[in-house]
Amino acid sequence: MAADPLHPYTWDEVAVHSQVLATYLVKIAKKEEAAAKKGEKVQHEETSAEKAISQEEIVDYVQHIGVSGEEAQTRINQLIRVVGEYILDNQAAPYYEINNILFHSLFANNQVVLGGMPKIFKRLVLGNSFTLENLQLLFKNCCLALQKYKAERPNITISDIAMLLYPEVFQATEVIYMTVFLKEMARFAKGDVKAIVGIDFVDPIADTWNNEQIAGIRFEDIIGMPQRVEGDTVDSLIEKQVILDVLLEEPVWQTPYLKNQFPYLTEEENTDATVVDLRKKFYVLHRKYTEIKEKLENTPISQSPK
Amino acid sequence: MKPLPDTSEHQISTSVKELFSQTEESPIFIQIDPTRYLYSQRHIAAKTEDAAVKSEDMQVKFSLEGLRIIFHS
Repeated sequence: MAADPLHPYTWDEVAVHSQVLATYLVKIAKKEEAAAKKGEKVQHEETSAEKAISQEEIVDYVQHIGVSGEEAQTRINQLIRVVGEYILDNQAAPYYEINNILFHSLFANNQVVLGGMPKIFKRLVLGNSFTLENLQLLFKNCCLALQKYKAERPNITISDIAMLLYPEVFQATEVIYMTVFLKEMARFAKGDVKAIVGIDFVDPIADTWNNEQIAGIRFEDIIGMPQRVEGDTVDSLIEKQVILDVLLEEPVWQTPYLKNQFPYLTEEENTDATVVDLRKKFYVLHRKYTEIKEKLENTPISQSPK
Repeated sequence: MKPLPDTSEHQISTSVKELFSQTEESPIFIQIDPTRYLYSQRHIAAKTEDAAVKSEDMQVKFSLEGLRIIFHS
């Protein structure tokens, strides 16, 4: 049985392998063929990934490769769908042009390595790095700051605030992960490595690159789970993950790719007998923190609790 | 390793094609969450007992030429 995708075991495990994409291409092609035989058209909603690459660019590639016609167009569209679904998970690009760069690189036959820090792993690291009290305070400060910033920027979200107020918490974890990842890649790569990261990460990674504190850190060191904070219990661990879920506005523990929604608990704590109770605790706390956030978010500053 | 490229938004949008227009041996690191890919990759590896994913002989070139082979096989 495949292990849950919490993090890669080695940097090259997330190098995009043609065989993986090919497997899903065949799957999509067979599905479309079967539908065509029945005279049906496969219903397909255009994903953000497909929108990212223009028709003009697709035509460019077709001409570049020297293939033309409807069949080539169909295959390219299928390829875009596979990348959109099986790599990008039909998500909009978190940084300008990132999804487009992925398509360009794959079309140009470059070896692409998906070097972002998995969101799930980031949560595991953060959950074991701070006390419940730390995270509760951080949550409260972000909620209060949200009220203040909303007056000037109505579209700002609490996760934007968290990144803005606490980069040393939410950004630094990713910066260290990616810097160590890049250094590991650079050791193995024959030539140069091109690194494409979000604009917010360029300077921090460049600054961290020569930091002596990370000089001896290897990739296998950063994928290890940090020890629990002393005194943590099942309840406090769940509450910390709930706070992070609400604060970062991404329900990572509901992803369909996880068999185990509580990988931060031990096998003794998370059993068939306890899992229903654990889920209940998680949802009750989630509702509580969401309500607090929404209440503070919608209360004018003058009426907010002191 | 060369210094990191200037990835200001304007720089990226105007240089994407130049950066990736030729096949290269060097890998390209892209800041994309690998969770969905890892799930698919491990799922296939588990099904095929790693054989297909690890075997060099099974490599299919990721291009339209490659796709032609896959679709015709």
